[in-house]
Order: sequence, then C-alpha cells, then structure tokens
Amino acid sequence: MAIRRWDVGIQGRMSRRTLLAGIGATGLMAVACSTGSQTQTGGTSGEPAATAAPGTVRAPEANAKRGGTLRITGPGTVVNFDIYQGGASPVLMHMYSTLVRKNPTDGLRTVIPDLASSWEISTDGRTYTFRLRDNVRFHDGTPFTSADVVATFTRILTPPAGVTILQSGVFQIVERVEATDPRTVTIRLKAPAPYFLEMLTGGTNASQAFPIYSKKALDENQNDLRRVVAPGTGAFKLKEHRVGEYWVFERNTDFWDKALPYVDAVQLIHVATLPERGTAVLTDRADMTFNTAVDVWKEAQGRGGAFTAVKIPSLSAHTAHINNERRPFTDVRVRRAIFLAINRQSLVGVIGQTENASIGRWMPPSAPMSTTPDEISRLPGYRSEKAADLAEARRLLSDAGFPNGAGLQPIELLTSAVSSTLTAALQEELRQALNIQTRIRTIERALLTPEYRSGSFDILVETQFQSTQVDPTPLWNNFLRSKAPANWSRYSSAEFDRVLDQIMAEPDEAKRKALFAQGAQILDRDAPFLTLGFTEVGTLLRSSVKGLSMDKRIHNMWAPVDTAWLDK
Amino acid sequence: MQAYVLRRLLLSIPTLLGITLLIFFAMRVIPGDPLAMIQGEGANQILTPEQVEDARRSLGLNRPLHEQYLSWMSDVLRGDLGRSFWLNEPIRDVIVRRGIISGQVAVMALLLSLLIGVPTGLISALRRNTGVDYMTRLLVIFFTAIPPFWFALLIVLVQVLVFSWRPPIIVTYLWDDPIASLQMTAGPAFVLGLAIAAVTARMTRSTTLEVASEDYVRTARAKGVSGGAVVWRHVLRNALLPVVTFSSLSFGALLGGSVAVEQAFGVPGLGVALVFALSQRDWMMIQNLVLVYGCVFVLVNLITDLLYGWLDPRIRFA
Repeated sequence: MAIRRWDVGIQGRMSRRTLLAGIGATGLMAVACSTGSQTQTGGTSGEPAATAAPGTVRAPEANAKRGGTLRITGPGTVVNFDIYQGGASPVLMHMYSTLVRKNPTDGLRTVIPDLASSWEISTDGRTYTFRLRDNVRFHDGTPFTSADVVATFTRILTPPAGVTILQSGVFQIVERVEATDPRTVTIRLKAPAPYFLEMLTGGTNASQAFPIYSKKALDENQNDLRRVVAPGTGAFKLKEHRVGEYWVFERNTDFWDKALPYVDAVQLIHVATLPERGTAVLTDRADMTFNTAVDVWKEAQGRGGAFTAVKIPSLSAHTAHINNERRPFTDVRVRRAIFLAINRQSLVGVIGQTENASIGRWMPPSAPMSTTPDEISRLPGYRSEKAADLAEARRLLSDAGFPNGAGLQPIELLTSAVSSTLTAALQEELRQALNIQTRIRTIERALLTPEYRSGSFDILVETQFQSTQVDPTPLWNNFLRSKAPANWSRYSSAEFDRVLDQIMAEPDEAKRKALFAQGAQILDRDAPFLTLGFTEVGTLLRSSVKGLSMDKRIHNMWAPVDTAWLDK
Repeated sequence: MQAYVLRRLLLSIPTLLGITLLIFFAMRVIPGDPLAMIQGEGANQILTPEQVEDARRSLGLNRPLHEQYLSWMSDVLRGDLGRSFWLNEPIRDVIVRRGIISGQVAVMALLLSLLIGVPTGLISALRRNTGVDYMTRLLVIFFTAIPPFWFALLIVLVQVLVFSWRPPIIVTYLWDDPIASLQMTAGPAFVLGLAIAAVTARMTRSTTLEVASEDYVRTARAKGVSGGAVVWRHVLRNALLPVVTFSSLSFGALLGGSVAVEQAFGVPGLGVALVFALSQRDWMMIQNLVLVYGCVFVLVNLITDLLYGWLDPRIRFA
C-alpha cells in the first residue's frame, strides 16, 4: 500500500519529502518537529534550543529548571469526570494523553506524537495507522495497549445506552477502529478528512479533546466515567481535588518521557470571573491565567517586565446569525446589503471594550488558509472606507424593493445580556447606514439554544461561530453546509456545498487553500450571516513562567502544560 | 415557652412546603433546563434529539413532575439533597462548605454593624442637633446611599492597583488558618457591615429619640435616676426592639443576598452558588438552596421573636 508516512522511528530521521507529504495529510497543520535528532527551535527570547529526543517535546529554553508548583487560575468546575460526556477538558486534560498532540513550543502549529510514536496515512487519505509507544502505563499501573485506544474510540462510535458522547458528531467521519496488534491501531475513515489528525489533538480548549482512557476503567465502570476520575497516562496525575475550589495535579514519576514535566505540580484554582483570574496573577496569588479581562490584561501589560501579557486567538467569533428562511432575508440582496453596510471596525471597537478582538472573514484569522489581515482590510464589507460599500448596499436594498429601508417591517435583534452592547451598536449601524429599523429582545443566554434550533428569530447576535481547530473544515461543515447541525442561519447553497466537498477530498494544501478562498468568496456574496469580530483571549503570566511559548500561539489551548517551568 | 416554640415550628412546615412547591414548579415553568446549557456549550457539541432524550432520562428529568417532586421531598426527608448538575458534588457538601464562608461573613458583618451602628445611633440621638449629630448623620446617609458592590470594587481596585495585594483565592477556614480566613472574609464583612451599620445607626437614633420622649423616661429622670442609667436601663433596651428585628432579618439576607459583594471580593459563598446555579439552570441546586434559605429565615424569625421576649418582658409567648 502506498502511504504517506511520518515516523519518529528508530532510525530517527525523516526525509523532507516525507515531511511534506505528512503536512499535506493534516490539513495545513504541519506534521513535524521532534524528529530523530532534530532540535526544537524557538523560544521566547532567542535562547538556545533544548535538544529533544525522538518524538518528544521540550521547553524551548536551554536552562529549564525543575521543581515548584505552577498555580493557574481559571475555570475549575466540572459537570462530571468523563471528558466525552461533558467533563471539562481544560481541567482534566492535565492528566490525560491523546494519540497525537500539538507542539506547545512552536505556537501549536505542528502535530507531534503523543501516545502514538508514529503514524502512516494511506494515499486515499482514509486509513490512519498509528504505532503506539512502548512502556506507557496508566496512573494505576495498567500497561497501555492498542486495546485502550480501540475501547476509547469504539465508545464514541457506538455509545452504550445511557452514555451520551458529545464528540460523536465530529467522529461520524470514522468508519471503524481496529487493533492490528498490541502496539498498532488502524482508524478507517468513511471519506478523506485532511483535518482528522488535528482533530485528534483535541483542538482548542473548547471541549473537543480525545483522551485515551484505559479499557480496564471503562469495563469496570460500564463505560460510564462520569462519577470516577479514570486513570490517565499524562505527565500529571491527580493528587487532590476540592470541588469548586481547586485541583492539584502532581508529577507522574512513571511518565513515559522521563524528562517531563518540569514542575512538581500544577495547582488549578477555580476562579469564575475573568478580572479575578488576572488580579490573582498581578498579586502573586497565581502564576498564570489563560484568560483574564481586558482591563486587567492592559494593567499587566503596562507594568512591563514582571508579566507576560499576550493575546491569543480563541477561534471564536461574535456573530449576527441572519435567518435566511425569513423575509426579507430570503432575498440575498438584503443580506448582502447589510453585509456591506456595517462598519466592522466600529463593531470590533465595541467588542474591544470587554475583550480583545480582530476582524476576520469566514474563518479564524490565525488559520493558515485565512485571508491575510492586509487583504481583508481591502475587501468590500470589511474595509474601513465605507463610501463605495454603502452606495452598493443602498442600491441592493433598493433593488430588493426597500429603497432607503422603506417597506421593511421592524426587524428583531435577538440577543443575551452578554452581547447586548454589541447588539445596540449593530442596531445603530443598521439605522444609520440603511435606515433599517430594528428592535432588540434580550433573553437569558441559556435560552438562545432553543431559539437557534427553532429558527424563531430574524437576527440573533451572539458568539456562535466557534472552531475547535485551526483547520476550518469542521467549522464550515458544522455552520455553513446545507442542513448542517449548527447551520443556524438556514443557509443553503449547492455551490458552496460542492466547494466544501472538494475541500474534504483534496489532500494538497495549495489546492485546499484555493478552495477555501473560493468558498469565502461565495460566502461574501451570499452573506449567510455576519462575523462581527474574532475574539482573542488575554493570557497573563508572571515572567517567571517559561516553557510555553505563549507569544507564538495561533490559538488558545489550556492543557497540557508539561513543558512549563518556573524560573524562581 | 416550649409550647410556643413548638407551635411556631409546626406552623413553619406549611410555609416550607409552600416554598418547595413554588420553587419546584417555577423552575419547570420558566424556559430552559440544564440540558439547554450543555448543548449550548460549543459549536461541535450539538446533541441529537435521541442524545438529548438519553441525557434527560439519565438525569431523571423525563419522569412526571409530581414524581420528581415527591422523589425530591423524600430525599430531603432522608437528608439527601442530591447532586449538583454542574458542580458534580453532593449539594449538602456545597451548602456546608460554602455556608461556612457565607456564615462567617454574615456574622462578622452583623457584629460590625452592631458595634458601629448602635453606639453611633445612640450618640447621635443623645447629642441631637450638635456637630457630632450632623457628622454622624452625614456618614450614615453616605453609607446608606453608597452601593455596597461599588464600594467593594473600589476596595479591591485599591488593594490590587496600589498595594498589589489581594486576599487569598483558595478558601481557607478559620480552624485551618485563622489569619488567611479572616483576610478572605474581612473585605465583604467590612463593606456589608458598614452598609447595615448605617441603617442600624439611623434606626437606633430615631427609636432612641422616640423612646427618650416617653413618659416613663421623664419619670425616671424626675425620680433622680442618673443619665447613664436612664439611657442603659430604660431607653436603650426599648429602643433596640426594632433594631433587633432589622439585624435578624439582615442576617438572613446576608447569608444569601450578598452575591454582588461576594463576587466583587471573589469569595465563594452561598449567594454566588445560587446565582451560578440559576444561570446554569441547575435545578437541584436551586431547589435545595432556596429550601435552605427558607429554613434559615423561619429559624431567624423564631429567634427574633424569642429575643423580643427577652428584651421586653411585657411580650408573652403563651
């Protein structure tokens, strides 16, 4: 079988050609680094890189110290302990591993081995063969084998009665999972999915992790791990948990990579509010937080060298979902008119009062296949110079039978308190630019989901365009494909669906990028909904926290932190 | 006395039952349930209708309402308050754990309010229309008008921006580390205590003035009783009756109603738990917290009535 292969293998070196083939197989996420005797490069201040053994990752700084407890403030409550059933992965993923992971030291740009030491992808892009590491044990001492991978993934494919797997939807692309031998697992997809490998890394902090559970734990608990903290294989294991207050994960001395982690323990302190998370860092009650309020973040930035304050894309956007099945939005000219008329710079400014944000098109700006910010700033609808766009928008509205907004019934802007300021700003934009009269209805955020589902809205302003990975294929499949589960705008375009089909089947990165550009053009033309600003989380660290290369990250990810070390 | 207490306790049963019925059905009537929140979490967490039904069944939400209610009541009588949907913890543990913090804040705030409010009100009344009275009244108006939440934020900001200090963020109990525990609760207790102290002082002043003009006070003075004894034995004791009522009710309110201040200081008390539960539609948590608040208020009311009898022997319980 002809294969595209990536192997950290015994020979320990990979050819450039093999590497490039691997890149193509992962949907723009490079599959690289940690190869053979290859060294990690980077570091936040140009320090010499540490040498990594095959298939491993190290802190980028050469002088990484050991010891100490890394104190992190953030969300620390969990609905249950089963990550696949809604347990909070940002908390629990400190103790679990996945087959593959993203490299924390290069800004999460590449996919690197985790429990799988190597993998091969068939030329048809449908079969992934993972070679598993030797000498890996779960925290309870049970040896890790392919049976654990099969048990974990089979439960996603065919959840037993009473078990609700949230990841089942995205895992529908998988046809079957088989163990070839105790060290080899084969995953067969129903169709090529170039983003699959990145998906297995667990994506962002959102909740889309794919940790490997032990078959023993699954069997002993009738496949339901909601009430038990199942043993993991990660660099940290659970030491202490005070519900609703904190978690302490201590160093797993039996971790397969003896060099990791650097710190003795991670203390994850539950702090519900964003400002509190940051002030805890400012006052040395904590070492870092992945997300704090804009004001606290700016305060830390102003204090100079004592803190590292970075903005990291969250892969999530504020959106105004337009109901394409409701008049007058059944007419694409009305949607396009609104798309052209709104001033995104102004709306991003409004969002910026509470969180960092930037203008993006139809995918997170940090996605490698995204239109560059410079290009976006020249595009109709996105550019700051509005005269031509407004003239075109008014013409379109007039052609649709609503000259200067006349004849339009008042449109309802549905939102929750969280987005109320942005909604008010959008209301004013529509009034000023197109004389479209709107009324705002604010309801509880928890009640928006039924509204999305029932489609009982004109325009719904919220943050429902969230990608769990850099490759936007799942995002488009989920939100924009005709009749997709989260196609809240009820957008339907055979032309767009065809492009999306091509993206799914196309392994070549350059061609995929061109297809994404084509898809974005269709979306700009059809304006199924509005992206009002892609958010960035304000991450804050005391300067003593090293090893995470936060300044390079292209997306937010809250675990693992096994390369972190404390310069105290 | 015992019969009175018993009768009051028995009378509280229908009150509490009414509360349970009201909160149980109110939560079912208003739109949204815990599953709506779970589904709304992320773009790729869209559950199919079958998955929603499975999850609803596993939470026992598919049973008829009367069955759910009776099951809850039966659990409550056995001392089992169930588990939180979102915190993954027995609710009894949440109430105990957070109740201790809220209780500590409430007791500290109440003591502070009495220590400041009663003497201030008394002095203000006794020095009526003097400089002391005017200054006191100004301060009272200031602390009555100032929103505790805003005041709390101001304190937090000064702590963080000026002193780069904030209280511990990990909950510490008095018996574990008294200093850390007091650091954690002092802020909210101070803010809440001042707010209540202002009202207490105002109330003490007005009731003292009222009582001081009573015939029996004038008679006591005419009989040659010293000024201090008149105030202590005859004025203060009678003037404190409404203050006791106010302070008792404030204590109940402090246990659950100091959400904003708890939030500002980052203190994880019962109020914050209730607000979180409401936003997450954590029905079991809401039901049981409201029931606990109901019990607390019934108990506080009873204790208030008993205190009345102690302060004013003319009130008979029979």
